[in-house]
Amino acid sequence: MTATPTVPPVHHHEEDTSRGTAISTWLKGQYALYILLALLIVATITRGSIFWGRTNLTNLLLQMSIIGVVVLAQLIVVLTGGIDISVGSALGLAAVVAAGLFGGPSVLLGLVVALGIGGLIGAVNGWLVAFRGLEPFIVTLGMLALARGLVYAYGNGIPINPEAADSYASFGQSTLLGIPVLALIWLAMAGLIAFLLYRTVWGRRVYAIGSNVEAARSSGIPVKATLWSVYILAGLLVGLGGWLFLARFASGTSTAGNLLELEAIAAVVIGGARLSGGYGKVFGAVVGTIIFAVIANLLSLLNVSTFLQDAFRGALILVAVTLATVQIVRKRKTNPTQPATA
Amino acid sequence: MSAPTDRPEDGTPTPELTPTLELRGVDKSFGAIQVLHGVNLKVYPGQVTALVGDNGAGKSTLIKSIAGIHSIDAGEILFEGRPVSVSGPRDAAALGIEIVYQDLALADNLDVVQNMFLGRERKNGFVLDEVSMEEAARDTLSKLSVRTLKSVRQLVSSLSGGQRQTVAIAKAVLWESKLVVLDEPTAALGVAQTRQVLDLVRRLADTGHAVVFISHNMVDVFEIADRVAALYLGRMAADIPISEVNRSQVIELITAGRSGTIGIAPAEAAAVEV
Repeated sequence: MTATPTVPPVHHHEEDTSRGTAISTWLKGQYALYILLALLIVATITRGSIFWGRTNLTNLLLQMSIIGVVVLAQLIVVLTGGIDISVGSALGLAAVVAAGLFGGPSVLLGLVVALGIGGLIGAVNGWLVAFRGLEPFIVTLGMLALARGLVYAYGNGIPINPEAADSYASFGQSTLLGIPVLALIWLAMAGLIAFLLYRTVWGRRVYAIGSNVEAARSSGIPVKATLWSVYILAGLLVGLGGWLFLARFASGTSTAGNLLELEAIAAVVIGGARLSGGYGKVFGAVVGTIIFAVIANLLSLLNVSTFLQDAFRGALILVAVTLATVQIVRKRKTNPTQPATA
Repeated sequence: MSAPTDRPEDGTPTPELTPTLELRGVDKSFGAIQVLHGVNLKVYPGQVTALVGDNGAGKSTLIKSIAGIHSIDAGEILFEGRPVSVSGPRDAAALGIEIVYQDLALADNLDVVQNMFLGRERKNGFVLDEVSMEEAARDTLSKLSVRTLKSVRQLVSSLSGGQRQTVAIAKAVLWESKLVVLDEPTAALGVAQTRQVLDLVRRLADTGHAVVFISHNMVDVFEIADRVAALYLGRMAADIPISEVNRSQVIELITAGRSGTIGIAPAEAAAVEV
């Protein structure tokens, strides 16, 4: 080690013990994981044989994949202290245009088109937020209406079936080692975003901007360009989500991605991210995604009406947010040295 | 980092010593309001220059001009004897100017190492080089004899006010800055923490840095400063070795712009008064 003799030996000792308790500290913070565990136990008790059945699990994974990439997009925006409520509409627009443009002749062309649409929407959102200094909520609210309007206008409200519908369908059902390819794409994206956030300068900048934008600016971080890149990347992920939607349903419906923004935001928050920015992890977002998919699945298995399902989801968000604030308050209490002015 | 500079007891720099930073006749206006009037200032390596002045005297404007956040209307900024133009935090950092702001430019949700390297991360190809950054951060902290931090991987949000100042100052040292400007570093601190920060500021100067120390606290100023520069309504009332003045004279310079034979001329002072 490089520690010079001036550093007291206590230093190392303390670090060693803290590493020993690191796992238990980490476990204490993962309330989302406990919610998931509780859900799985309930599922096992009530509908165990169906829930853990192969068909149901595959369905679950396919459902998660689409929401999952959108949650990742939401996560990186939330980390900067922003919010993107246009993700659902953007996903819908990416899906219908990818299905309808040139008649939707190929799956690969569909991917390019979907990414293009998503990236474009992200670039517009990001430009307005980063360079025009507008509120992310207002910008993406406008984009939500604009993109959804375009979705309806493009298909006149009728589902668009791409020429390559069969290829989409077989791709959507393909598996690798028994795992749906769509789910593998989602998990690969989660890995990619985790790498970018934790291991690159870009990720460090994202956290710094969300944590204290003034500190980021005075440290010479290109705040505007970084913000823009975040929204563009989020747009690309949403575009990918639109393509995954096509792969799963082989059709671009005008309601594709409807209200997805609410689930994405909720999953990010349940996963432990703070909407004020600078705090949140990919792992939490993935767990949040799984929680939402499992709840929807479980409620369907239990034959709960769709209206009550929405109520359940809303209640869960409230519980999770309450748990999160309890945790923050407890953290503050254990740090009495922190001055109130800080 | 250069060796400690010889500092004569009376605080007068040796004649051949080039100021790290020199301002000559700096003017700055915001619209119709002129905030700085022909400000001259010399800051020497190895010395703590206390910048004092009442609220609204122009201290913040002055340091923001040095940092490149405000552009100056007239006058010259010389860094190590060379005229320079600073047009942003990046320029200032490239020259070796580090400003530690009062509201502490630290990101709460990042740890000590991440904050110290914020904006200038070390990379290993594409990937952040956490190991080397952590080592460098530890080295710097031990060089400054900082023993108050439990771990360099602590989140800054869990630190006390004094520890946060320490991290902000260590960040400046890590970058081998030549000039460190500290904006009221002890303003929100308790007695023991103020002690730690003052010691750290002294060590900073003793390791060859030029330090500008902004404070309202005369006890602190007289304890660690070598020179005192008093701003009065945007004019530099005095920029002199602290050994030439006593506490009540400095307070007069702050409140009236002059004290006995030092300070701005009586006629000018009267004109400013109106």
